[in-house]
Amino acid sequence: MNTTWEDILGDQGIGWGYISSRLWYAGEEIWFTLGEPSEGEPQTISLLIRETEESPEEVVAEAEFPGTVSYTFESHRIIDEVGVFVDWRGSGLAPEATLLDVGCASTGEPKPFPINLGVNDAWYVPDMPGHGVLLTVYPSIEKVFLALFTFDTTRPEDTVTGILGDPAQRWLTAFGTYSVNSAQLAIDLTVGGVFLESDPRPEWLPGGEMKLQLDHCNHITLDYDIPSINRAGVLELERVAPDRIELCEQLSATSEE
Amino acid sequence: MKQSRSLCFSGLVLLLTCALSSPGRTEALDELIFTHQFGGSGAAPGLFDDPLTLAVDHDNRIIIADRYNHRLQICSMDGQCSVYGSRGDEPGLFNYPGGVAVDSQNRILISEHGNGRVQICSLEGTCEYLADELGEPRQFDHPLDVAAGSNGRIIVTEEYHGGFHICSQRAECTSYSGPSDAFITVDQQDRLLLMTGDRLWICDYDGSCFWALGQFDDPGLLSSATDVTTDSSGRIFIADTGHRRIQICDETGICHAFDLHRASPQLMWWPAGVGLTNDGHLIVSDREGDRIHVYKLIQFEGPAIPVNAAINDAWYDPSTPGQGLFFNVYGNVTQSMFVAWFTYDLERPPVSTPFELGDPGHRWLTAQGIFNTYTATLSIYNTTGPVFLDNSIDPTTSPYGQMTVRFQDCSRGTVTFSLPSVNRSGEFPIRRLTNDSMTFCEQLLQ
Repeated sequence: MNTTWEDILGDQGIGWGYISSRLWYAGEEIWFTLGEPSEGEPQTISLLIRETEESPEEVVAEAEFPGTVSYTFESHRIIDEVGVFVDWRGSGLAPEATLLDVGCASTGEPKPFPINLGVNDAWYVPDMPGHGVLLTVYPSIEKVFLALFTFDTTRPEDTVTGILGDPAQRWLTAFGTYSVNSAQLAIDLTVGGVFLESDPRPEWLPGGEMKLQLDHCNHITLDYDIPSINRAGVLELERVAPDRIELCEQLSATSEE
Repeated sequence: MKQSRSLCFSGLVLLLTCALSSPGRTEALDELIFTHQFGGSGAAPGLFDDPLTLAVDHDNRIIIADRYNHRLQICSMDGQCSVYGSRGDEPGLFNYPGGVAVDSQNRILISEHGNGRVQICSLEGTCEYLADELGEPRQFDHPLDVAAGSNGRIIVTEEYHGGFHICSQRAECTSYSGPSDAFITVDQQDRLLLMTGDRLWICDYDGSCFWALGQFDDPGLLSSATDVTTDSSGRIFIADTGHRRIQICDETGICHAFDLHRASPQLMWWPAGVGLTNDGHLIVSDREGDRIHVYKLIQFEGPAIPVNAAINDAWYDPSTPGQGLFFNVYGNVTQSMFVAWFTYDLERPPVSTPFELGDPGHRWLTAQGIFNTYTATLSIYNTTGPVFLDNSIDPTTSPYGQMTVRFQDCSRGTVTFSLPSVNRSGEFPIRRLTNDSMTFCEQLLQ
């Protein structure tokens, strides 16, 4: 699967020979070919990656100039910047001036992201404020526990009152087994409790099904089906904060091995 | 709350394992709880440009050497500041004020790096030089810091020079050799504490000194440490500037480090000036961020472990099945925690209450805030408004209470909460739903 420069960039910009934030799949190769310079005495071409905005740049491959430098990602990684630099004996180089070719190729279909402890986090649908999904993964038993914080399907009448919070607040939990990057979950409706009281004891009623798929470490597709309210659909979830993406990717790479 | 059963969620009955024990530190533990910050870069009142050192007076006013603005600022705990002085070489004017101290008469001592002098000021802003009987100011060579000793003695250190000068109120000074480029304070035992970047020296008025703190490894390793202060129980508070942390040490060299870099909404870059109020707050100036950070200094009985990334998990109180909390710990930008608490109303709704999904008694709250070493201090929020998975109604999220969270070990914690609008507060124990993240937690603690 060869791709053009534009394919790689999509809507993202290129600044000074860098490809900005992108998911790189395990086995995917990126290369830059640089031609004769118009001036100066370059020595080597370096391929640099910077994992996050705060990370230092890391040289992952070098080649003689002119020529092609390439790098193959060993695991799925979201990289803030992948770029090329030519050592110009300190004079610097605007790489677009001599950039002859750039591309990436994947060795077959992208590998799935295995579910791992790095998935434990708060997730949400960006255009659906006020709702949230909390996830906990139990690798030793290959189970996922999920909580969906939401509301009833209609706003309650004004005559419906409560003491704490909003009378429309609802939460569901779901639990089930995962395999590689997907999980099949049974929804539980936990009913009958009182704030921090052991009595009355809640009951757990079956509430439907969910299917969770980890597309990459910052994207989950969650299919839900709740027969009691005749509602089914798909939620595209992202993390509330990116802090655990790196851990997720590290563990994902480890589990591939 | 009684430990009636060890089950929480349907379907997880078989998954629960005995809670492993990875006990935290068990002695009485210090904790710095971030409360608020004020300031920012600039020249307007309340803004700073290199707040190098600070002192706290007897009335808890914070006196800050606003170095590159060539002035002092005297601030209340809530950040209301008054400006004293501007650049100049007359009494009441300043040229790179570096060190500040408060003497027994609640007067302010200021060392001026640029003018090479020490001024003694009242809180009203009336200043005079440390001068001899003829009124001739005592000249120092780039004075770095100043401290108030017993019997009215004033101790001055200089940049680029070793040692210190002990002066009378009439500028009769005796000079001693010793550590160079030192920031200085006087402890409760009337000893001189000199901080020289990576070592703390304790000296007597006769000039004899010994190396008290500054180990070659943590805990106690210091890097470009700046200001130092002490409390009435002999604890030494060091601005470990290069490590972006505060170290609280005793004289025997036992130190506990508190990383401040991400422990506030505005990052702490170079903690430099430190001061203690008489109501238990530690004030720290950030030279780089030009801000003043305020921490509540508390002590609590352990055991406790530092909050860490493996806290991310589902937790519950075994005595209240069907309720629980999800903790999410973030550290990339600030040390923050997000909690989702799923629970019920305080009373069961009437049976006739109409509903479609779940239980009309369902309630959920969220909480978020900063965590310090052992303690997460969070604000609770209530979200109202929308309907099920519908984005056409914007939610309203309102402050609803307070929550603190601590963990005794990798499997046990305690939640303390206050919900004023419903007149409920309390404390309950929590455990992990399962122990899958225990190993990760223990690895992080190591």
